[in-house]
Amino acid sequence: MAKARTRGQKISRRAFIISGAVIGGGFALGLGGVAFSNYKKKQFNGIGFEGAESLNAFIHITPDNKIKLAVARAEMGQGVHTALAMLTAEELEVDLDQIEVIHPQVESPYANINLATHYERTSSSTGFHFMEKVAYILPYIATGGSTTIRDGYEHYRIMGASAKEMLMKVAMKKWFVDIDKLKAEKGFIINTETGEKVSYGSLSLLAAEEKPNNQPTLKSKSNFGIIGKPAQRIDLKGKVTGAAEYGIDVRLPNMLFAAVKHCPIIGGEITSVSNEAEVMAMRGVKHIALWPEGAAVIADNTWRAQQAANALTFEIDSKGQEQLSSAHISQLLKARLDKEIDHIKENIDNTAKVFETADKIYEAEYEVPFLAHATMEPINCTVLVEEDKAKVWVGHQAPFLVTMATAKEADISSSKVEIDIKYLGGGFGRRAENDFVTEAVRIAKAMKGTPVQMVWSREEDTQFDTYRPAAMASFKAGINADGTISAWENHMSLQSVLRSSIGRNFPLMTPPESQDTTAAEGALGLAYNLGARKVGYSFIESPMRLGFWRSVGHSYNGFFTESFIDELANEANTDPYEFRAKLLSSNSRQKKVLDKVAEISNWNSPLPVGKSRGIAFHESFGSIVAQVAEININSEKEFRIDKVFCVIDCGNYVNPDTIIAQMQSGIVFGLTAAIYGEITIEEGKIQQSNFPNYEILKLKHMPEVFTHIMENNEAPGGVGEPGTPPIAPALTNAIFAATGERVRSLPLKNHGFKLV
Amino acid sequence: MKINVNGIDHEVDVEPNMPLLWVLRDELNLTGTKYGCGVAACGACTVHLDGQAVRSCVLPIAALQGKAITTIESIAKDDRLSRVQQAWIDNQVPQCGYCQSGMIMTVESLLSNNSQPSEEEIDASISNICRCGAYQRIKEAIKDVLTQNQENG
Repeated sequence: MAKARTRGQKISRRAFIISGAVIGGGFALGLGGVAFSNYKKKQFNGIGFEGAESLNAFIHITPDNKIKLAVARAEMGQGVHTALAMLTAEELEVDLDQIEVIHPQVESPYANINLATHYERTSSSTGFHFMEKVAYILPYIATGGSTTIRDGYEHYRIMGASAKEMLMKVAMKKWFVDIDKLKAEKGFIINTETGEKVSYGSLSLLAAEEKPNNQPTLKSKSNFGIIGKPAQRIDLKGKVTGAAEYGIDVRLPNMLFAAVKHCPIIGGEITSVSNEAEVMAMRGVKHIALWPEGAAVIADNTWRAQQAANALTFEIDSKGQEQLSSAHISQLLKARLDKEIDHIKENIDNTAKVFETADKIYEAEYEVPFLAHATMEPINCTVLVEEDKAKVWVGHQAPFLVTMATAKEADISSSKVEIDIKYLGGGFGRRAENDFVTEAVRIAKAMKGTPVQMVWSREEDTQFDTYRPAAMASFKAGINADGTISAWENHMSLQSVLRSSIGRNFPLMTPPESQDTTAAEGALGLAYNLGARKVGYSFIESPMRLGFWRSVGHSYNGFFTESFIDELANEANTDPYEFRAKLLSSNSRQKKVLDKVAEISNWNSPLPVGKSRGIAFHESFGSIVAQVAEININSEKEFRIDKVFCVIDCGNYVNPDTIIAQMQSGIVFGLTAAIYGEITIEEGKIQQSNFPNYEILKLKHMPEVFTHIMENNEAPGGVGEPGTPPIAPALTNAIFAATGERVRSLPLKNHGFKLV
Repeated sequence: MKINVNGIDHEVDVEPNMPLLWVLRDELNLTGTKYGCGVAACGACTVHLDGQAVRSCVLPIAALQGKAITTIESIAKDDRLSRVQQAWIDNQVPQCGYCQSGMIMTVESLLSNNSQPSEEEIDASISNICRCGAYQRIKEAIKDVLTQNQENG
C-alpha cells in the first residue's frame, strides 16, 4: 500500500509540472491538459470573484488586500474550506482571516485528480494517466473518498507560493532591488533595506501579468507557521448565528416550493395520479409534475407543497417488486456466499493446501444491513430554468454531475448551466448523487422563469436514499500452535455499489463487476501477516439503489475483519492486542499506531467489575486508525460506552483540531450504525421513515473520545472517513470481552443490547 | 394571523394550522431555524416561545397569538455573540453546522432556566440530533459557559 501511494504522488506531481510547462506563459497554474490552453483568464471568475485580480485559477486578490480563494470542494463539516485556506495562507504569507473561500464554476483546474485516480493508482500507470485525463476533461470536480487534503496538500501550497513570487517580482521592479532583499509577510511585501511595505492588493494588477513559476520553492515543514497547528475554522460565525446559507436556505424573488412523493414500491413506477383535481384545488398549489419514480407538487410554501404531496394517491406498476423483503435479500446473500468466490482479488500461496495441514481451522460468518445516510439537512435543490440557460443552487459533493444532469434534463448546453454551491448540512456520500438534481430541474422546467426549491421531506429522504448495501462475509483461517495464522480466506457477498451508483449517475463509466474496487476495500492488503490468502467478492442483483456511505466498503469490511481477528485471538488464547501486535511487522507504522492506542488506553490495567475493553485496527483512505472502546455493561445487556481511545496516523496533517473533530464524528457515525442502524424492506417498501424509527446516537450517550495524532513525515492521509470503520468492532469486541457473546451481525439492538 | 418574532409584529396570510417553522422560513425568510424531521424528533427547528425552547415544526401558528417568539437570528445582539455562541466558536463545535441553530436555542433556554445544570440535567435536556456527532464539543462548550456564569454571575 505505502509503495503504491508513493508512486501515485510522484506521478501526480510530475503530471502537474508537465502540463504547466505545456501551457507555458499562461496565468492558469494547475491546468491539466493541452486541450485547456485556450482558457482565458476571466473564465475562471465565477460568482463572487468580481473586483479581484486573478494571479492563477485559485488565487484572486482584491485592491483592499483580501484573498478570494477558489475551492471547488464541498464544505460538509469536515473542515476542508479552512484546511485548504491554511495550505494557501502558509505559502502566500497571509493571515487565515484574509482569505475568503469561494466555490468556482465547474472548470478544469479544480478537478480532483486524487479521487479520480483513487483506485487506478494501485493497478497500472496506464490506468492512472487515462483517469487523470478523463478527470481534467469532465472536469471531475467532486469531494469524497477522504481525498481533499491528499489532492490539495501540495497543490494549494504551489498556488500560494507561485502567486507570492509573482507579487515579489512586481515589488522588485518597483523598488529596483534583488529578491533576497524582499520579504513577504501578512499580505505585504516588505523592502528589508528601507522598511517600505506595499500590500498585495496594490501589486496584484501588475502581478497578474507576470509569468508564473510552476515549481516555486515551498517552505520546509520546520518553517510552517500555520500548517500542522490548530486553527480556528473560517466557517463558524455564520454557523452559530443562523446566517450560514445551506442549499435549503436559498431564498429568491418570486420563488416557489416543491415537495416530492416517490413511488412507495422500490423499483416500481407510478402510472397515474388518481386525485389530481382534488390536490390542485388545495391552497397555494400551482402545478403537479409526474414521472415514473415520483411526483411533485409545486406550491407557494414548502408546508403547503408537503401537505399536497402527501395527499396524492397513485396508480402503481409495482414491476413485480411487492414481494421484495430484507429476508429475501438475506437469502440471496447467503446463497451466493455459500458458492465459490466470483472475483478473487487477492490470492497468495495456496490456502487449500495450507488448510490440509493446519493445526487448527476456525470459521465464522457475519452480516450487516442496509443503511441510510440521514443527513441533517434533508435533500433539496433549487433551480431556475430559463429559455436557453439554467441556474442551480445546491449543496453538492459532485458539481460536475450537477452541471451534467442539469444540462441533460433542461436540454441545454452545459456551458449554459450556472451553479452556486452552498454549505452542505451533511453529505456522507448522499450528496454525490445527481438523482435529486435531475428531479429539481424536471420540476423547475414546468415553471420556466420562476425559481423552484425542491425539498424532500425526512420521510422521502429516508425512503428514497441510495443505501449502504447489506453484506455478508465468510472467513476461514488456519491457526498455528504458536498463535500465528497460516492461512486466511475471506468471501464477501453483496450488491455492487459502484455499478449501482455510477450506473445511475454516469452510465458510460459503469465498471464491470470484476472492477468494483469498493466491494473488498478494507479486506485486501491487510497489514497483518496472515500466511496464505484468498480474498474476494461475489455480487447479487436487487432493485435497491446503492450509494457511497461514509467509508463505503470499509464500513462493513472493518467490522468483518476486526471481528474475525478478535475471534482468532480468543481461539489462540491470546490477548486481543498482543495477538494483533504479533501479526504486524515491528517498526511498521501500523504497529506503532496499535501500540500507541494500547498505551493511551492503559490496555493492560485492570478494570472494575462490569467494565470491559475492545480493540480494533483499520486502514482506510491513506490513514491508519486504532481504537479502544471502554464500556460498562450489565447482565440485562444494558450498556454504556464510557470512553473511546483513538489513534490516527494520517501522515503530514493540516489542522489537528479538525482531525480530532473528525475522529469524534466518525466514531459517532459508526456507533449509530452499530447500535441502531438498519434499513429493512417488507412487501417492497422501506420500513423506516424518520428519526423515531431510524435512530441516531444522542448527546447523553456520547462517550468521551481521546484522540492522539501520530507525528511523522509521511504523505497525507484522509480524515473524514477513517474514524468510522474501527468503532463497530471495537464495541462488539468489548461486548465479547465482558459477556462472552460474539456479535456477528449488526445492529446491536437486534441482539437485545440496549444503550442506556 | 398575527405573530411576534424577535420583537417585531408580523401579519401573515396563512392557515391557522401551518407550523411556525414554515411561517418563519417561507413567509418571513428567517432561514436560521432549520427543517430536519417535521415530527419534533431532531430539534433542528428549536425556537423560544416566551423564553422556553420549543420545536417549531409541530407548533401551529394559531397557538402563538399574543406570544413572543425568539429565533437564532436575534441571539447575537448588535453583532455581539451570546456567551453560548462564543463558547461554540471557542470550542469549534459546529461541523456541518445544520443542527447548531436548534442546539444553541436549546442550550440558551436550558441555561436561562438553570444557570448551573448538572451533567445529568444537561444530558436529560438536550435530545437534539447532531449527525456529525459534535456532542463532545457541545458538552465542553456548555462547561465553558457554566464556568463563566460562575465567575461573572
